[in-house]
Amino acid sequence: MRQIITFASIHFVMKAEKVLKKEGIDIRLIPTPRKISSDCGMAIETHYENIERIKTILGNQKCSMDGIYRFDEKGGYSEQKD
Amino acid sequence: MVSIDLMRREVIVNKRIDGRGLSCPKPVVMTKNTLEEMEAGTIEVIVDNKPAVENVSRFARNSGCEVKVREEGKNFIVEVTKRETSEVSKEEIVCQVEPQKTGKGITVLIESDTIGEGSDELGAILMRALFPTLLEASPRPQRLIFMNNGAKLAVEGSIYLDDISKLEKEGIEIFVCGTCLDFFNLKDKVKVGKISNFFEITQILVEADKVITI
Repeated sequence: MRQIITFASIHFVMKAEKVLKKEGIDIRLIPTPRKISSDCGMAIETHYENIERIKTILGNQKCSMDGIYRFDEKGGYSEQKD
Repeated sequence: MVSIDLMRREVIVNKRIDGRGLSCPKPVVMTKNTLEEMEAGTIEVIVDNKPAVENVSRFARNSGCEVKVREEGKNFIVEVTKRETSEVSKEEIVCQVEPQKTGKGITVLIESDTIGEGSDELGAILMRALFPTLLEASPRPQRLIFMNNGAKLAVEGSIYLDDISKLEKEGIEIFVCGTCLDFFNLKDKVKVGKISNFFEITQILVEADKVITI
């Protein structure tokens, strides 16, 4: 299942991409889907299994996430709350 | 039972104007004269080209008339309804001629591997956003041309390959400048699109209704 992580600014997105790729996590930089409201036009897409690891890594790096969204096959989505 | 279609046809047309074969401002002038002569009612203006439809419609709307357009074969019929409250426009008649559309749609010319100037790092990220969003754009571009550094986006190892291939699968034609690939020694590394020459590329550019350069 697709998970989309949004950030408050492009700087966080760029930092997150760098850090997560370095850790070997499978992520993709994508334009933030229209349906999601975010302060930043770019977001990170990843697979469901990676989320917990990403949370830990980004937490350690003080790279704060804005929201995590779960997308289903049909394009429906829901925000995941901690 | 009277069908809705029949009822809709019951517009009484007071006068028909034949503007076929006439260039602007003639159909507009004829429309204007007719509207001035009558108190209220509906006229039909038959014209044979889109600019004439636009010009007549604009004038009629500016005059407070209701406008409906329908196609009949190769012709267009502009139905103009004048009400008691309509006031025939005294403005000078403007002929706006649209450039003839070729039907070749929009071509996007990508000349660089980043978008804009300033930060290349940011420019590369913006490029990542371009391809998926192009797919959602309406109207959708019909052709993409990759030139100079842009050609590097279509070769082995490019992070954009998946996104560009998706565009190709959706029917968007992809052309990559062969000379550019040759210059960068990347000719045998191209993974998406068709290797093209300048004759073809120039032809695509001149044929396009609109070229967007990135």
